[in-house]
Amino acid sequence: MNPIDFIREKFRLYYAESVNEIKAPTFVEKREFGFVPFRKEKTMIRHRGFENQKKLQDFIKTFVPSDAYYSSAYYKNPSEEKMAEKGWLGADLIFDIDCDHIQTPCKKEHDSWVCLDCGEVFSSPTKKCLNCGSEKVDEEKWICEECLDAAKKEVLKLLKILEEDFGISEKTVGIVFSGHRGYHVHVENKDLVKLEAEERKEITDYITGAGLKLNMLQNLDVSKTGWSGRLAKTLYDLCLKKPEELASIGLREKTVKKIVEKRSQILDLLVFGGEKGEVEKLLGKTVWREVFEKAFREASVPIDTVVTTDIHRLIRLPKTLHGKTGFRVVPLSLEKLYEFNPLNDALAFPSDEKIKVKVKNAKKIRIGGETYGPYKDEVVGLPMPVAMFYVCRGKATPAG
Amino acid sequence: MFKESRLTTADLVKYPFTVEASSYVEKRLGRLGLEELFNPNYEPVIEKAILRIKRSVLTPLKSIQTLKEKVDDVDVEILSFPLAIIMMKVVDDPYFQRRFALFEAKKASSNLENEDVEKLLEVARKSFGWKIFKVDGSFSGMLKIRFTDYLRNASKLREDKWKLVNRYLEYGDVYVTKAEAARLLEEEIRRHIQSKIDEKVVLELPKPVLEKVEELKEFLRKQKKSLPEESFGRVDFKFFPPCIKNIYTDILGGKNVSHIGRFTLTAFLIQIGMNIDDIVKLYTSATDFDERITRYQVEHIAGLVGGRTRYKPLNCESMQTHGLCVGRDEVCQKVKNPLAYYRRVAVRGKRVKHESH
Repeated sequence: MNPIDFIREKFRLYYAESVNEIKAPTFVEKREFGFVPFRKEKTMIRHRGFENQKKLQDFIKTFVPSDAYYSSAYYKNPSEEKMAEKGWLGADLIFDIDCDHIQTPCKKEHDSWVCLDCGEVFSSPTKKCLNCGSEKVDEEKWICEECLDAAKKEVLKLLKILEEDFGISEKTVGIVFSGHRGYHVHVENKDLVKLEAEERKEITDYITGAGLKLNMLQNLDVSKTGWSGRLAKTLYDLCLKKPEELASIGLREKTVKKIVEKRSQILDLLVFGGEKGEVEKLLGKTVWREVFEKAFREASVPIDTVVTTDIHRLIRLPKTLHGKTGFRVVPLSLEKLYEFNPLNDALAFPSDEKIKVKVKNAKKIRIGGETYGPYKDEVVGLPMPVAMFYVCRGKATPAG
Repeated sequence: MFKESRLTTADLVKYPFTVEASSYVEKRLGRLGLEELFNPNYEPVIEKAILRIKRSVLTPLKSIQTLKEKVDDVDVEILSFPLAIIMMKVVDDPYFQRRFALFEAKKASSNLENEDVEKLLEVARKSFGWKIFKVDGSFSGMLKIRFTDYLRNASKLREDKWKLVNRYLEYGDVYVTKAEAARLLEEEIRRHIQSKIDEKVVLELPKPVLEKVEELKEFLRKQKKSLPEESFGRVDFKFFPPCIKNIYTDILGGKNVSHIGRFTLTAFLIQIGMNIDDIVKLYTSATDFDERITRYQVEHIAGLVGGRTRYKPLNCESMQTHGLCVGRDEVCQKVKNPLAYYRRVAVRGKRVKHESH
């Protein structure tokens, strides 16, 4: 069976059974919807509007989309095609955290660059094939528990900033696993819907730390909130680490030594306060720069800024399926987020059902607590969620 | 008169855009509303409204802070404000409309800065719905303002200190000084006045008033001619491409222009041969840019300091990307960058001049 037909059939069965779990977003009649169809030509069908949840569910059930989205924006006429005639009324504030924006050591192991001409595979970023010189090099990103966990950690950092700095309680935000590489955070708040792109940009800059001028901040002080407080806290945590831990996060030997030497003075400054720039003086310019860099990265959150500033953005509809993984887009409460492991808890298909697939060349993946692969040119019997993942990623075709 | 308000009638003269001033006007004019002003008794109000508008054009923005205005009659002062807005609708020139809004806003903001803080809070809360409070404890003397109210205004300001990331933000409140709050209010007031001017309200002006407005228009036309654009020697404003013209009039009108917009205008002006002093003057006279910093930036773009590269303005494609292209005219179709436009049109323009001699 052709893989597209195979996936579509599985998705059809899923929606036939579970479509009622899909909740319409708030103010459904003011949202635009978009769907990617199961065709060779995967152009998204946009500008769809639904009066109510029932109609949305019926559509998904019969259309069986590969991917389903709704607008973070509210419109007077959501199904108008021209943006000017849609009548923008406002938009939720959305954040996107993707593990491909986060530096994790596992990337080296599972991301690769493949030459589309000669098939050579490289393990570090390259634009040109080092074997045949072709410029048709495709980046192949993979996921694993480690990088998905890193994304989760960033979500928790973001929620803290939203609460402590912006006064947006974590109880009022929606957390959603995107179905693939990360998480979306939705803030639906009437005071924020009217924010313009420029204002949203200021919020994303705040969260990523873009444009931060240290000399303009308050003095570093752990009792404060805001950037001065958060930087102070991350510096404080850093200083409390053992020398071997400091070395393991990539600080130079000289830097580690200096931190250990000045530790108690720095901690005092961060707790009791002092003049601006005193920590820098204690450590010296170059060491300070290195330490600050680490603290800054820890204190900022690498959100995808485009998603937040785009006030016409389409975002995945919770409880639908992700066409590139076969995983479910899962809405989560904060309590659930702590325990959540996408590779166990976002599976849409029954694990006790096995199927044979022909795998061309696929890296290993840990799904449902078991590790599968790597595979190369072989036919294997796999539990349905694993088989679906490989087929959706284009790594396998149904055998027989 | 306003028991629930801290604003006195004298305050309404200073802040004629407030809700209190509006209800004062309503009470004063009664059922007929603004039409009442066309009654010959109100001649001084009409005169005052025209004076207001002329002042907005003639007063250099730098000297607004020290502007001393004589108040003869509070009624005339307060009533002239809504009338001036109606006249600005009729004037129908975006440059002067923006200039008027900016002038009035700057005047009010500089008053607010020197006012008792309670009055500033009153104006911000009552007229603009700000959530703004005094702060106690270690930040005593500061004010805290809801971040949405902050962003609505500060996101239009370009200095680093206004960036949210450089502010102290706590549970949704941004900490600002009184002077900063007054500056943010200036933005709010400016937008408010601009939106009043833009509001489509049909109000027939009687003939004698219309005649006065015609005179005013004539006055403004003359003013426009004497704007700095004509005094730049060999640089000729009328050959500017639409995009550059737009940025240029925005700057003159005191509007906030993005960094990239200012960069490209500066590079353009340098390339066509305007001298550094004139460029600096252009920025500092219409905005509150610091002269020293502005000069450095202009010199940098001119390649006199820093990396020694003489920068070129963005090309048309990049202008479009940055939203600076305002639509292409005939000449635009034939060129790929704003400079080529200028050269093309300027050469042709001069040729025409020669031929006619």
